[in-house]
Amino acid sequence: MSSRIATHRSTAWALSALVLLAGGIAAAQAYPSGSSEPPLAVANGEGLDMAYDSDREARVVSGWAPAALEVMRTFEASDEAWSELLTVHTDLAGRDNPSRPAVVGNYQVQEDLLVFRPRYGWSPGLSYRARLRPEALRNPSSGASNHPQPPVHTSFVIPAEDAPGAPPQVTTILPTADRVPENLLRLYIEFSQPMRRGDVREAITLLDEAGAPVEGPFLQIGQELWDRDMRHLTLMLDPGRIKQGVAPNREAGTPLRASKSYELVIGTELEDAHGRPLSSTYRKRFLVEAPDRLGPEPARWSLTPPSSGDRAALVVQLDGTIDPMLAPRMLRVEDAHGQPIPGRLTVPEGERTLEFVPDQRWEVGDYRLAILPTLEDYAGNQVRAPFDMSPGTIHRIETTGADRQMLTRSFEIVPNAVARSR
Amino acid sequence: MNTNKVLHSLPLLLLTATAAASCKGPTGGDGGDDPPAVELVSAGALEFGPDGVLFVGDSYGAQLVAIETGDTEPPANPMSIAFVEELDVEIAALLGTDPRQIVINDMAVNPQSQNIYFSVHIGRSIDPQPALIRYDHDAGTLEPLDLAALDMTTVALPNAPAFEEALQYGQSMRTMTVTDLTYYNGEVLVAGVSNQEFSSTLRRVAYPFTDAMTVSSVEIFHAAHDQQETRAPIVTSMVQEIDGDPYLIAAYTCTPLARFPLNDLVDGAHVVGDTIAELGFGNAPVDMLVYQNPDFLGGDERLLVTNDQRSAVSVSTALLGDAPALTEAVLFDTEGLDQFVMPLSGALHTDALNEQLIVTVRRNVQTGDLHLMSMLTGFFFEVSESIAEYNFPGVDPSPMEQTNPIDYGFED
Repeated sequence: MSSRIATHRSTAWALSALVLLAGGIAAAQAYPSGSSEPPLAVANGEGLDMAYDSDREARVVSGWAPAALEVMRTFEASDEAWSELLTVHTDLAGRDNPSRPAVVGNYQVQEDLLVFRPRYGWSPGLSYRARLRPEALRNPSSGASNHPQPPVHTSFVIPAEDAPGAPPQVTTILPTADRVPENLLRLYIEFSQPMRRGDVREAITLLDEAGAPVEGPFLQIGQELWDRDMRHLTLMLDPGRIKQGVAPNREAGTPLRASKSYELVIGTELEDAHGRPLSSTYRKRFLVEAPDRLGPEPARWSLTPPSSGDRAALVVQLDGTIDPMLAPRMLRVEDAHGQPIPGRLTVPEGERTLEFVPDQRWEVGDYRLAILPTLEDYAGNQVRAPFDMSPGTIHRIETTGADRQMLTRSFEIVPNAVARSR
Repeated sequence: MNTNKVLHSLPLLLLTATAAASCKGPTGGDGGDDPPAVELVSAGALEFGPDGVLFVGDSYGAQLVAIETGDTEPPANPMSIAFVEELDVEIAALLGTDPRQIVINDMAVNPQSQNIYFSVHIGRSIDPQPALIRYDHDAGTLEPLDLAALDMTTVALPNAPAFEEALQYGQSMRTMTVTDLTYYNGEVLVAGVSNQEFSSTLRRVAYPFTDAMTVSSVEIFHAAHDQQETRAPIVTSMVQEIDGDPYLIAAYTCTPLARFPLNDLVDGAHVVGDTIAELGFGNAPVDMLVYQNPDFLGGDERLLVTNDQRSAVSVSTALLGDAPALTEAVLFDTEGLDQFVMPLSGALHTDALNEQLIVTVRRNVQTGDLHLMSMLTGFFFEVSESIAEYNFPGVDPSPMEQTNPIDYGFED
């Protein structure tokens, strides 16, 4: 289990310390029938107790006789003797089957306790059953043992984690613009907290003007495209249907059609990490315009630098849209020697401008905006090449060196005056 | 037949950003002689190499991990059926969790032992716990691998180049999901898709891992006369030797099957493949395997492609080399190589168990249970799943036996 999860869980359990006691097992007195050897004294005078120890995050058995502890100390970690002695099963209402495997875990003797920890941790909210068979301990010298005692069964529940804060919400849908090109490639949805995988296909629909769902608008690759934080979902419109001339495009056409309006619906089937549904259904309406077949052309951008000495933004008016998630990684501001200027690059609403605010005050001097050729617009058109154009007009990317190189746009911060872009 | 061309070299930027980043294990440690421990952050695509080496695509850890499973003993009983009635419930029981928390990401058969391995996540949200599960073919039991006891090595799978250092706030929101791993001749081919930029890259990683990694971008002709690029990821692929030369046979979403000469996939190359079949729109491929048809079914070697929305199809491997690149538009149809539709649908994971059997993970259409089940190679169906006249009293019974002991819940 990762330390992060361990910390989290131990906090939850400290609040509701769980100790379940099994009935004590009295120290055995009788020899097993048919044996002349002395049996192994399993329990001390107090008898065995089986309990969940919330501090250890483990199932512990106490009350062992010293001899029994000695025997257990001889067991190897992989010894099957452990699981003959103590097993833990998940308790699934209606789905239990005697042949189901036991939970895999680690058995240890710690001081006078037998401690069981599941290898993959306990599952909050889940019930477990533990079975202890003291008679499975054998006398190491004679092999005899076997106190004629029935196994002990207990059940326990790991408390469910309290879900923090409010139910999940959609905080942003990108593009923010309410007009998008027919060949829109990507939509991004940002949530207020980490979400759960597996429900996107069911929960997210695209409705046409009549309110009917568009069939198969999104790329299906068997994977949902989430970021590591599970707060940002990428919906990629089916590129095969967008790219002109390829079979899916000819058969089914583009998912979006120009001059029609659509509604993206994000339903409450989506759940957060704690299983809570989205607070409400979210909708975004947008109007579809003619396809955009040209990538960003940095030569046509208009740069407006601030005057020196403050931390005002460099504002860049673009020639079209750019992908707001790619922009911070595909663009940077550098000094005249190519050293990056630390700062924050954002794409304001509408995705037709860029703003860069440096961490430190601007210094007088020459700067440049560096652009990777893989920067894309809404429709996946890159600086180096469009996603596609009319059939027959674009072939392979027959390239020269030009489209492989980083592009730059220079600007100057001038003293005591409005800066000039050049 | 080789109409593929290496078009140009990718930016130098890309090469420097990727090739130098491989390392053995996470950095850190106290400078002792022991190599730092390899930690699996997530467990996705699986592939076996020789000698029981299991490759695991770790998308969250941005690494390719090799695990020496030591599982090299041939099976005592190779023709025994691999069957688990409720695979998800059984795995959840072993891992001590609820079946609804279990995601089975991939499956691979170790060809030496015929044991079946699953990459599993516990939890469907942030920071899922990865686990690798082995189905012991002889014993018919499931067990998690104890990774702490196994030797593992790793190589980093860096993202495509970007001004990452310009990010001033928080963690990158970019992830690269490994969609497919293919082992061939001392190398692992790694295909992936990013949640942000849309570009198809293919990495070739030598094993044992070194600092060397080649990165090429691939592009395919689609079924139109225009020679257009695509940036879609390879979903499943394999290497097939044709006239002594290795070719990557790759399937993409919606569902072109393409051929790339492996020798062209050198570092920095941009390689255009030939699309040799269209397997149908509205569909994504899932898995690929090569099998030998039984003699009474023709005895030929065939490639099976399973699909997520359509039934599986098979094509003859003898035709893969000479199949011409598609040059004409395809409307509402499949095209290219002759495709034989197989009675295998809904297969979430499929691999060859041996020459006579495949194994597949799929839900029973009657009970909804998630089965691990075996099927006869070439037939690819479980006779007990369909009711035919054979099954009625007074009629000669089917010549085929029920393969998997599925519990349909009927009274005995």
